[in-house]
Amino acid sequence: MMTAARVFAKQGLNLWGTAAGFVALLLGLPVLVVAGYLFEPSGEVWQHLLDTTLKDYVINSLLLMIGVACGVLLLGVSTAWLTSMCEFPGRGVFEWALLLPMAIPAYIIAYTYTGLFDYAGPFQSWLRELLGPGYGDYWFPEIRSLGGAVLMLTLVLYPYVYLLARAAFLNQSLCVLDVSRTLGNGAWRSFFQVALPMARPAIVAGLSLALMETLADYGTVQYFGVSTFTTGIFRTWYGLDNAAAAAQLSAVLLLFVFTLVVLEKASRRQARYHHTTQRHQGLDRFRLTRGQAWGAWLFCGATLMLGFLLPFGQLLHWALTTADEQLDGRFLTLIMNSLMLAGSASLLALLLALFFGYSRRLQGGWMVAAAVRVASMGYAIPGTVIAIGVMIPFAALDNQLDAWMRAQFGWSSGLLLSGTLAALLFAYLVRFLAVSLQTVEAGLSKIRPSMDEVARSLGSGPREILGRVHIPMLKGSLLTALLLVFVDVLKELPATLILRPFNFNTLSVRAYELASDERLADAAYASLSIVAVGILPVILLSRSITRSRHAKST
Amino acid sequence: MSYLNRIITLSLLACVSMTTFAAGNAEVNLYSARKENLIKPLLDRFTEQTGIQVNLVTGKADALLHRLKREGRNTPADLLLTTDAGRLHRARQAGVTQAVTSEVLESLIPSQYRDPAGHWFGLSLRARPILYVKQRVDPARLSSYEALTEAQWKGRICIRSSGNIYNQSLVASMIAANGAEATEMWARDFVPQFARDPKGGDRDQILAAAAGQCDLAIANTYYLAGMLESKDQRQREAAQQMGVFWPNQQGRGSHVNISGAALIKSAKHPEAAIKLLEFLVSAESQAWYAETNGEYPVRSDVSPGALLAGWGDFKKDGVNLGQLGNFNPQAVRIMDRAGWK
Amino acid sequence: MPNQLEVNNVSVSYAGRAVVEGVSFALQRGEIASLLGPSGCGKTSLLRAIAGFEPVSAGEIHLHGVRVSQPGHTRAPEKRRVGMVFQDFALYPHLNIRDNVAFGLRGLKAWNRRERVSRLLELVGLKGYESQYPHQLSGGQQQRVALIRALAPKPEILLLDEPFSGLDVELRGQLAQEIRTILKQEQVTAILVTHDQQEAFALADRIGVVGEGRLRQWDTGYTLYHHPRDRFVADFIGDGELVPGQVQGDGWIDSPLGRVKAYDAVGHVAGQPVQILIRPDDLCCDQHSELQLEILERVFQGADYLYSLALPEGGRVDCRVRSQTPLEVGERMGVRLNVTEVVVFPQSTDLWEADEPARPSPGLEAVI
Repeated sequence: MMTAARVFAKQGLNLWGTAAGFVALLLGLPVLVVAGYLFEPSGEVWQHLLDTTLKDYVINSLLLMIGVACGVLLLGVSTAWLTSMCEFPGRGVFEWALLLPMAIPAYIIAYTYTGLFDYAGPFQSWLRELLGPGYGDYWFPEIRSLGGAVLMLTLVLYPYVYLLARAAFLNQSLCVLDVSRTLGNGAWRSFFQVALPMARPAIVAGLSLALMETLADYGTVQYFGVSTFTTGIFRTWYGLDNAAAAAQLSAVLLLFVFTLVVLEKASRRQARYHHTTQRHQGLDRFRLTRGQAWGAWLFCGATLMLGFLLPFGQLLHWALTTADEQLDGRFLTLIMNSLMLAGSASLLALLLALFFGYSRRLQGGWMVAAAVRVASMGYAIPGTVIAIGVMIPFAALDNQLDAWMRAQFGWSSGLLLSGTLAALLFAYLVRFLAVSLQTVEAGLSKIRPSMDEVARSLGSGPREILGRVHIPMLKGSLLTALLLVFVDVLKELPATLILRPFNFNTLSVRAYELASDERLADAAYASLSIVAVGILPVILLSRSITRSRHAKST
Repeated sequence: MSYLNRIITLSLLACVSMTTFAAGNAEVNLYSARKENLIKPLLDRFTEQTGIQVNLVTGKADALLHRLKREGRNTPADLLLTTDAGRLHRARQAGVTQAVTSEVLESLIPSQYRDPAGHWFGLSLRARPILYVKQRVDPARLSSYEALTEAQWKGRICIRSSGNIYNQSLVASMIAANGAEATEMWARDFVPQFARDPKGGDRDQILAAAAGQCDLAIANTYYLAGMLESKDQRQREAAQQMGVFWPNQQGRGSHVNISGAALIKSAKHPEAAIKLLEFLVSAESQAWYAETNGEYPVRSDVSPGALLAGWGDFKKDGVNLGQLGNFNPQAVRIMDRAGWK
Repeated sequence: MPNQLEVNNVSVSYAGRAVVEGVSFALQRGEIASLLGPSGCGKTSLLRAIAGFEPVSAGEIHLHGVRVSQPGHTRAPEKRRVGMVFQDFALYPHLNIRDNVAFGLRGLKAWNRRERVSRLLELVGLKGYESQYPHQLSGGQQQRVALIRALAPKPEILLLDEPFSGLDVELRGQLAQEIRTILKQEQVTAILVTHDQQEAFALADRIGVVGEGRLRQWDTGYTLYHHPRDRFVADFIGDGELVPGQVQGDGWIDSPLGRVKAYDAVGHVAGQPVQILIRPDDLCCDQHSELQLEILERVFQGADYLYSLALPEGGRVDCRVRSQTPLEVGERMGVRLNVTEVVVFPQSTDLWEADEPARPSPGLEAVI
């Protein structure tokens, strides 16, 4: 890598570092703006927070993270292992279906589970009819609780771990597993002693994505009445009318995130090994006994049931009762708007991720590395905080320019960026760049420097290397990056709500407006559409991973 | 003018020509905290009658207010519409509103529902009474919000979290009436009365009460109305079990809040905006609020409709609603200290 | 006819620190050379400079009479027509074997291209693997694919960077021989970089020993072994110990092992203390010899035993003896010198002290 950098540098291309730094700074601006509030006096609000609610925020946020971490690891890793390494009936379907919960926004799954399992919901009502008692006569887990929030977030976030762990399992050299098996280790021992440690970097990457989403979640915890950092930020900002203290809480949240990022990084550094023999043969999956196969089927089936079929079914049921009034011409516009935003945001994020990925590859150095870290901080920050962070500098810029124009020409330029889709897209990039960046970097790391050099020694210039080596090798990762951001933007709500221009609504805005008006059934149609639009890319995603595997093993 | 300046100007002109959809005269730009489906039909009607196009962006009131402050004098917004008076008051204090003099508005809207200086106007009323399960509660034992701390209601009350603006306004109104100290004492006694930790929205409190988890629910009336007209049978059945009790009828009256609107200081279309405000208090619009949203008209001369009328006439808290905005942070602190989640 | 490759006084530096200094050598067309040295000695940097991946900080490199590198100017690797085989082979996982081999073939008609690819595959015994993917081949097969991919565009010179280090030991020797045959057959000029002298001996016509960035000696394998020019080469190539001695005049040296003739006595004056290189096969076992040395260690090596013997005045020597009735550690063994001439180095306080001879073992470097 170093060498390539030097050769390029000779050709006058050592702008990479500076450019990457500049773009990262731009993307980090919203975060910095929020962090800037740290230096504003916030009065005695902190004393009040310390005396009353801060303890709850910290404890609940920590418990939530620990719970979700355990949950997504359990579900994600085990289903990934089962579907990639074991053979049982239905495996082929589970392989892609297990990703489906990814298409459901956390706040929507929370609404549906509440609708189903709350005290007043059909399930408990049925139980009461069956058993006859009233309130307090029987024990039933309270869905709207910390535990419930852990469950909801686990169910929609485990696919991140599943996705990355499965790719890692599939890419592991079978020789290594074979060795383990010839040494007399069964499937379980091979899993714990060989496969799991080798897949650890991928699993940790998936886990950190899931935890960042958890930290940024507002909809679910707010609805379930769990006080976390995120709800605390809004309470302080709006309820106590103290923006500085709220921003300071956000800064504390950033500290959490930073710790996560560092941990993830450290874990990856320790395990940086390529397999020198590039040899993995067609998978010889573990044959399960009949009982084991049933167990595997039940486990995957239950995960899919809870994470997708049940909420999807409830949404479908609600949607069918309200279809006639919700489905009109404007609905089509909502879908188009959502698709347009998600499409352009994912494309832009991909381009930026490629830009950063290559800056790092060609230039290296701490500056680019730091720039990349800064640019991907946004993932764990609640959308609203990012939206505010975007709004402040954009409006300031617009107003500065306007003032200058008025002074210079006696003519007002008004707001050029604020309140436009450009501002919204920028917020999406700040929020979701981490997702595409991580995927693209993982893909790039597979193209070893020697592959570039071989191509050059065989007479290929940089452009040809890009076309004949990089793009074909990266194709899968690029698609993955594109689709992940697409689905994320589709689900995004808070930033969309605050930053969108006049007369512009999306599916998630519609779903939110109705749901927050406590019209869950009416919200179902929009929610269902988000899920439906999201399913297609999710299936594509899963297919592309499986296909790349098949191409290798035929 | 230098060469550079000319280039900048030209490129800016190009940008502006693409973004100045708000340049025509026959339109008004609205920042609304009221959800689209609860305002859009009225706006469409307005456009139909006047030919004035209404551009809408909805969102949470605080976020919209923040957006207004940041956009400053260049904001495209002409009107800010919120669902509580506190935020309107806050907007006025932030200096983003301007006074309106309109005979129509002043004559139709009672004075406690509008800013004395004309910075904001209430458009509809949202009442927050005590709802009780008819089968299990004798309404004669209810009297006021304050009396909910009596031992007889221990563990029988459902109410949503203190993060919600309706609860914040309610407590703020109590501070306005009884003072901070008394309200703090009340809050300490009130929290142990809860049947469960606060969670969910107003409809959830009604559902929980109907299902037997508690006997009293504190909720805004339009939620009850919405449930009664819901397609969901479960919601209808739950709502039908509930009775409405208007508290504090002997004293200051039941707590009401407003949805209202303010004219933005730098509004580019003030005439059209005022026209829209006047339209929103027309008898036709006021009846629509009651009919469609289950809110009470701000005008006393418009009937609230059969459903709302069925809950009886009631005395409304006469405090000027702008005050509630001042007490809001204090209310939140009191609830924090009382352990109201 | 110009030399195929000429390296003139070349230095390569990273961040101001020279890792290769003042190296010169030349290769004729069809000649195979090896750069041999411990890890980190600069041999790979030199190879990369020839390929064009590193700029030179001093000196010049000429390929087929054309100057391709000089300070401030580096002709890009893609314009040099050099073939390169990497340690990790760097086969493209997204291309099958045919497309991998054909990667560098350009300007050929499709039919000619196919012809060339299949001839090369035949050459390395991989016919029939055209549509397989790299991960489906064994390590040795991948190696051969990497080799013919580099050969396909008929490069001016082929550069092999530790191409055997990823393979198991048995395979290495066999492949080295095979590759030599192919290269000779194709008349390819090649440079192999390795830290393994056996590989270098098996493959190369000429070997350059590189130590600490300098080319220590440029010679055939035979000469390197028998007439190392300096202590570094003597230690790095083959086994052997430096034994103290004293110059007696007329080119004779007195040593604890007896009197022996110096290979090159020029520059040594009578009475001067020196060191002589004694290889294990320079001593033979003779129980009737006056010289009886204590056995410190004994290693069984199949046909031979390798004994480590203590010298009377400190230090040790090795002796290789056919494996018949073995002597035990602690016993004494009679030995005598069985060599016509020995290599002499002046006594010095160099890295390898005379009284405590460090043993640079190539085996260890392989691990590092």
